[in-house]
Amino acid sequence: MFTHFMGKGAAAGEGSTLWTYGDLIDLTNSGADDTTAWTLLSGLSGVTDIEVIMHNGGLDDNDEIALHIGDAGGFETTDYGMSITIDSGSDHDTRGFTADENTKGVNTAAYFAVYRLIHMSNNIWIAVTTGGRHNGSATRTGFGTKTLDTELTQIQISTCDGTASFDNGTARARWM
Amino acid sequence: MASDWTYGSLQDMTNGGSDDLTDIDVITGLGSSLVSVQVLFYLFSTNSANSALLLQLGDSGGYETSGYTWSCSFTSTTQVVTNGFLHSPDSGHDAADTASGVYDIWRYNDSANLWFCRFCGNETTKNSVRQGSGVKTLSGNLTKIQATTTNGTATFDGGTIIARYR
Repeated sequence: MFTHFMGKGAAAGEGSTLWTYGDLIDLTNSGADDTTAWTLLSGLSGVTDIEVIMHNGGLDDNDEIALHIGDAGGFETTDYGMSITIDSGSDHDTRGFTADENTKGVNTAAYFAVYRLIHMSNNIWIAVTTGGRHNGSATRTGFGTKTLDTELTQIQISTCDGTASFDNGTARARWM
Repeated sequence: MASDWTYGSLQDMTNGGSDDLTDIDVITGLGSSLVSVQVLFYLFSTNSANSALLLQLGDSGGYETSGYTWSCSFTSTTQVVTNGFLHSPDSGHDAADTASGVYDIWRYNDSANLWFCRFCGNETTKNSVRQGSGVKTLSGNLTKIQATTTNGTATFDGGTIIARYR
């Protein structure tokens, strides 16, 4: 029964999967360290599932890396209902889907994260996130929701405040 | 490539504003070749201060209300139950504490009716993530799923719920 998932075709080099992969993004902009937001996917239609994997993400100032979804009106940067649990602590944010607690600078502790986005219905999107830091602190687990006005067409990786620049890491999105 | 999920119907948990349902069929008529199901709910609330959402599986014999192995938690609060997949050990889910979440449910193998489940969710304006995991063995094929509440008597007064499967 589980071979159900196999043999449905995929982009060359990605194995047999239903996922379509976006480009691997160098968050540092080839070392320029000058970019505050990267569009990972655009022109989407009829998508039900998105996953974003970030490796060694880092910023040049205290801020929080955030995933933003967008529709024809642009990217949404408010009204997210995001909760994060880390060890015995927790936090809440409305500025994006996050995988780490707010107010903690990541410039000295590059981290990795998986953002899993699911379309529920009527442009309601649910996010489940998992994050970790190379400094060995506890795994972060997150859950969030966001309702768009119209169909999701694009996603970006940016920050909650929108001011810090990426100075480390790569990110890639896949969708189906 | 398109997703292979098949979506059920979106259910209004308030029953059109009547706020009179103590349980709701999230999905029925599931086939024997089912591999996995996700149940997603958004802004769930009840008329009671003691009423977490409880998901129960059913087969041709009806819904199962016992025999679950399930633990759930948020921060340092935990709860173990046997009557379903409870979304959170904190029981206050009135209109001021709307909750959202996703259940991932997988069949263990072709020949057994053992289903694994994990949950992740939150309350819209609160910090801590709610999590859970567990198993349930059915007598026959999984054919339906219902949502009810901790004590089975509270009525839903907010939220939508939907299942998708493959």
